[in-house]
Amino acid sequence: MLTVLAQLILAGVLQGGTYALAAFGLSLIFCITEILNITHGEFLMLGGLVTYILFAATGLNPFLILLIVIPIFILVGFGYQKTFIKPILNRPPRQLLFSSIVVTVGIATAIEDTTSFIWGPTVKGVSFSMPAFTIGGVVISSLRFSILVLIVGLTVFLHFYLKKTFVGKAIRAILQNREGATVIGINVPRIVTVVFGIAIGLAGVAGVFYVLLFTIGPFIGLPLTIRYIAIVMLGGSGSLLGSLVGGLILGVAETFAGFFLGAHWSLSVAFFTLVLVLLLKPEGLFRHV
Amino acid sequence: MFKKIFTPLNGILFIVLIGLLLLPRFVDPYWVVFSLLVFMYIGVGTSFNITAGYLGYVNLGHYVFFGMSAYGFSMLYVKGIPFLICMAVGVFTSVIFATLISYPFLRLKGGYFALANFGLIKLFELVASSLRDFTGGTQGISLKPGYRPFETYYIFLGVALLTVLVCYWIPKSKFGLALFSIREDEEAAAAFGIYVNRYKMKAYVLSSVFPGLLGGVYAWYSAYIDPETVFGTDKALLPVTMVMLGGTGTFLGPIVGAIFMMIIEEVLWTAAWLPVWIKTLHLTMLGLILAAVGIFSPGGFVTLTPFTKFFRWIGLGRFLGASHKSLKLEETF
Amino acid sequence: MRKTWFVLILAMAVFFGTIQVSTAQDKKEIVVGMTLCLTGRFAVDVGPFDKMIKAWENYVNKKQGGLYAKAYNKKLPVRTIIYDDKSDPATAVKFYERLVTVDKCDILMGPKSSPITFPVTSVPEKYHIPMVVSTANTPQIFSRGFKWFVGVQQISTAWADHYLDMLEEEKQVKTIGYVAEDTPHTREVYEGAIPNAEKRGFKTAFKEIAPAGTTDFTPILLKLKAADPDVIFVSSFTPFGVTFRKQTKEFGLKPREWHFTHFDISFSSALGKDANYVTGAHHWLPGLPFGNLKKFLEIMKETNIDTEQYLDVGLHYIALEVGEVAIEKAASLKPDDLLKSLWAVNFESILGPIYFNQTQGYGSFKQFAAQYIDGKYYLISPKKFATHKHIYPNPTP
Repeated sequence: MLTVLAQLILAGVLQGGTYALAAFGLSLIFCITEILNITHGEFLMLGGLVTYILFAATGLNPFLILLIVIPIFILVGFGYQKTFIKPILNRPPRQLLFSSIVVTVGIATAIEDTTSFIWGPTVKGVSFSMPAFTIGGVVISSLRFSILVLIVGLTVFLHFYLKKTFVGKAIRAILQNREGATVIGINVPRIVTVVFGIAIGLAGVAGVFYVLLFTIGPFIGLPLTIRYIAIVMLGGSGSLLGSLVGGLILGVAETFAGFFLGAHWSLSVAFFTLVLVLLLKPEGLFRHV
Repeated sequence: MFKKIFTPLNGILFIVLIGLLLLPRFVDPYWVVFSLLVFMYIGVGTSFNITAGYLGYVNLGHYVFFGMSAYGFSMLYVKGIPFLICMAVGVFTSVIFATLISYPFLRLKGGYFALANFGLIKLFELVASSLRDFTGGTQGISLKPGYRPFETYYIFLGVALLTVLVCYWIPKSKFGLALFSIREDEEAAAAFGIYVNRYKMKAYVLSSVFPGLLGGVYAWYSAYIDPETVFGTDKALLPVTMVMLGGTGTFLGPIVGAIFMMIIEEVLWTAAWLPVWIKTLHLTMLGLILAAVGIFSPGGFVTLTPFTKFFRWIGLGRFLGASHKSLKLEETF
Repeated sequence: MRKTWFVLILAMAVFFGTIQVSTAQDKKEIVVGMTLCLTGRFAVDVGPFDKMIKAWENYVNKKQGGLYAKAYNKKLPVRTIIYDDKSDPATAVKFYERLVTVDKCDILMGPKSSPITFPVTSVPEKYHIPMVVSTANTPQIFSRGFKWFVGVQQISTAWADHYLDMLEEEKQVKTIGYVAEDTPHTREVYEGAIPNAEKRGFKTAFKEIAPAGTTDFTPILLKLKAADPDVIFVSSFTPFGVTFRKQTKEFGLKPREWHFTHFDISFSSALGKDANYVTGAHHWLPGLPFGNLKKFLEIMKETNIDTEQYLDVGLHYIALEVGEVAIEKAASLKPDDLLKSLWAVNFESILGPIYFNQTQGYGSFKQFAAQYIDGKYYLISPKKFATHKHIYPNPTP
């Protein structure tokens, strides 16, 4: 029984870790700009797509492809922000909410449709696998484990980036008090662009992992975005730790529910947990970094 | 007093109404089906606007009322319970649900409120899929098959009219004034003695009535529902997009948005003179239009100068203002 | 006020002006209408079928000179109309209404998937225009007593028949473990396969249904590993199947055979080596000897459709073939005659003999069992047309 529990927890953690990555980007965007970036899931899908294309063309180890994907998507993030987000950034809160929803939903639809048109609506996967290893009766997938290690690594990196570098500190300053940050001389628009770069870059990375573990198709973006939004709200926006914990909670809730209640309950329980947490603690579990 | 009722404007509206009532007689059933869908979206969109546009709380999960009503209706209808009772139950399900969740959810603000409600839809989709014995799971519920566009047309027309009337009346009433003041500055409104919570709840519950009326009838018309059809997340975003496209400040916005989107879809697909690639990419076009509207005209079509000028020119300017004549349209948005 | 009147009258004029008044004309062409899920959740399985249908139209018109219409004693050209129903039942119903009332189709082809076909079938029933259902095979569609459509496939509960026939004949398999993706179609296949198998003497070692979006199968895999069946039978669509198989690899599940009810090139390319020796169901594969192959292959070549990728190609195609046969054998193109001819259809399509159950209207085609071996899909059951021997047990589990 103990091994079964351990297996479930481990699976939940691995699952949650993959969620947390994309969620953090979304969370950062929401907290810094109050924009609901519904397009986020599409970037994940595109990350997976690029990986698929590169893998099919060159057969490179996906972890190496990762290194190519990161800079590409950071740049994409810059471009996305400059074209679509900048015009609506400085609007009063309610207008901002409306506009952000409309714009991001519009872009998301356009991306989905164009992708389906160019690459076809079929699902794509990457046939890359690594042998699993077993410790004390518990099976550990080395692929998932490596991904988790990378995620933890990225999280640690981000943590130090936010704490030690100027840009990181500027981001945290804006998170705490936007006007105050402007007053002390921080170039907020420039930092916002950086934030988008980071966030979309993270989404792209999550996409690489996603296509390794599952399959991608043009229309997976929207359901995924919803799931990430759930994690963001669970963990508290703007909090790195919050996204991680939120993702983990969701992942573990899923696996446990799946085992004890039957597979068809796993997702319901996850969402139920989210709604419950939100009602008890509306801002989420953690305050921002 | 007679002068007030028999104005030329009301005369025109009356004629339009007669036209809509007689429409099914004169056109192909296809247009009846098309129109009934337009009415349905008008109903859902306009009621969404009560919380989103008037109260300022964007309820992305508005569609969940529709879905709940559809399921409530269907589960009873298959047991042989008469149509009207099922419809009543559908509305009750939706309204009671809204009342129950209003308190906890209305404590959330802005984006959180929007997303939490959106999460509700997904939750219900999952729950409907899981409670197999109760809701038929992913197999859905099949109702007695039948061909009912005409009846549905009139019911939807009626509900759409009702919704529009209510939303026309709200800005002119004290209720509407309270909602607007909450929208502009909730704390100030509370400081002025408005029972903010009470009004928020009333608006939320009121907005659930109309999808409640529509959901059950839709299930009856379709003769089949499953979790994806009534709780699907892309479906749920559709009325929201229509309203935002059209404009949220006035009751005209959702109508304009709904008609616009249905027509665009129609034109893009069936116009023979458009090249094939436009038809295949029609969603992309729609997405880009949305983004453009969001960036350049956040108030929706209704705030576009050509539109407002046109309406004033034909003499229907009074429909544009949402609250007070002296406020510019952008300000009421 | 005058302005308002003016605008109103103008609007009415435009409105009524655009409504086409249909005039009775001499029949100049045969119109075939349908919707396809070109966008939305079912788009994954719908490939460039619109191209195929247009190619079929071209072939019929150019190489066959049209379809023979007895009532006019000559061949009439065919015109196809396709709309995108966005994988949404309400949109599909709207377009089918349009196909019948505005476009005046003579015959309709069904949309993709059972949930959409379900409400759509009330349109032909009301307007009395015949319809050939291609990809829907839910029993419920056919048990309502509707008269105006037929379906080319057997009902979904018979999906695994040919596969189980083969297993029964080979007498090597004792236990089967079942996993199903929770969608109406895959569940029906699962629910049809289990009693079918048990009747033949195969023991059910495990069975469970998982939601369509499941990304972590640990709970199921743990139980499955303990049960250790000979065959693991997964009733799923490609995304679910791929995710599942990847995780089974990590868990070290080694059954003697994998069976995935829907598999195609996406599946095998996403899994690489792990897809080797997997069995499943398929429709048309090279090696089948039926029907007018020359025409079919030419159309496939022209549209560049890979039949190993798009399972449903065969189904859509034979629906068109059924349409052709029905039209050419009908006494006239009037709906009643066309319908009678449709129910009486009995011919050899590229998937084998097609005829319809005369009470419920479902067809005679049962999925063939196939196996993916070293990069290609081969037919393994029925043995008569098999292009390869069934490899069991799996040499590289």
